[in-house]
Amino acid sequence: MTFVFWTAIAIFAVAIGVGLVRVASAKDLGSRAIIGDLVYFAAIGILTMIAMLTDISIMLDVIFLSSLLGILATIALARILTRGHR
Amino acid sequence: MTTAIDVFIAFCVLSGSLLVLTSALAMFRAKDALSRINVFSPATGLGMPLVIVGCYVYLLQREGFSLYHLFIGLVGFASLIIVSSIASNTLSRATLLSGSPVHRYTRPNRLAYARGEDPHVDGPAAMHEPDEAQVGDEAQVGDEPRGDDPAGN
Amino acid sequence: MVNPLRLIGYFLWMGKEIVTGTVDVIVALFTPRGYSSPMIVQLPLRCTTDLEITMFASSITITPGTLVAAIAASDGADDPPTLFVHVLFAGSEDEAMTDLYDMERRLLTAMRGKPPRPALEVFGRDEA
Repeated sequence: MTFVFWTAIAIFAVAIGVGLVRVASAKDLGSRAIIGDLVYFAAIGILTMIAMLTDISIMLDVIFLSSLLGILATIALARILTRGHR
Repeated sequence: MTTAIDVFIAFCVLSGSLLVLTSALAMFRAKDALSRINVFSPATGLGMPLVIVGCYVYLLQREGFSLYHLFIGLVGFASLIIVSSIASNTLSRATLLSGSPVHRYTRPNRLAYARGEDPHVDGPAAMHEPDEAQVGDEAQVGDEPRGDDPAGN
Repeated sequence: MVNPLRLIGYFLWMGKEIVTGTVDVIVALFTPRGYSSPMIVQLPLRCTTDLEITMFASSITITPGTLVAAIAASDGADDPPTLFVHVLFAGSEDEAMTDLYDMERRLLTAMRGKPPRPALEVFGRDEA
């Protein structure tokens, strides 16, 4: 099982790397906002995998809270894009 | 039995992470911001819920059944799907309002041309001049934010 | 009248749609010009209440390959609420709108207990 979790961590890390390369090469702000969201979810995945590796019992709580509150970052970015207009 | 459960957990976790990677690669290849927001839903609609399922089954195998874990898992599963969908709606609307260009092969683009007036699709009867990067018609979607020129630069 | 059994059936059908849309995204990843033909279609709705519109917009967005780009509210009797939907993998505009109206029919059947009138009958289609 340890091998599976390390593989998943590696895949999430590659996803973050691909996203960061695209952030550097994208021109418009909307692309950067949505890639920021992707990096957020990949980081949550890595945290969950680490929690499962080290056998911390709060692994489900982490992913629960982050999935509920993940909308805040996206909406903040959306408000920044429109400069405060709704 | 334990082996079967382990294989199931490995399948959930690995396919979930692979779906996030798929979204990242698809975003790399997509042409404009709207397409990128569009191909984000495999990660949040299927990938992260699969990770939650794998996590819950792992916890079930490790610590036994608990009503609290079942509740948290179900609410997390549902909120990922609903919340991320609403977030994508908000972000796509903000992207259009902020005037980032739509890919020029977006045909038909009904935000710019009504049905029957699109010069690319409906023939040369239309009177508009095709732009390099067509911006959505702000009259349809709301007020345009003041600020710099939205069409680029 | 909300029909709970049909609503559960609708959620299961949405799960199937998410999986097929994901397969579309993966296939397009290995196609040379897979993401090169997006379109934005205009979709007048048969939904009337806010709950129906919100559920339909969320269903569209969570399906990979379709995304709600803008919502125009209804401001009169003959001006239905309208969605502008960004579609990635569709052959033509009519094909995309047929799929979206099929989803709307399933949702409204679950929410109202009886299927709505066909979209062609409600809005007509002034051209082929």
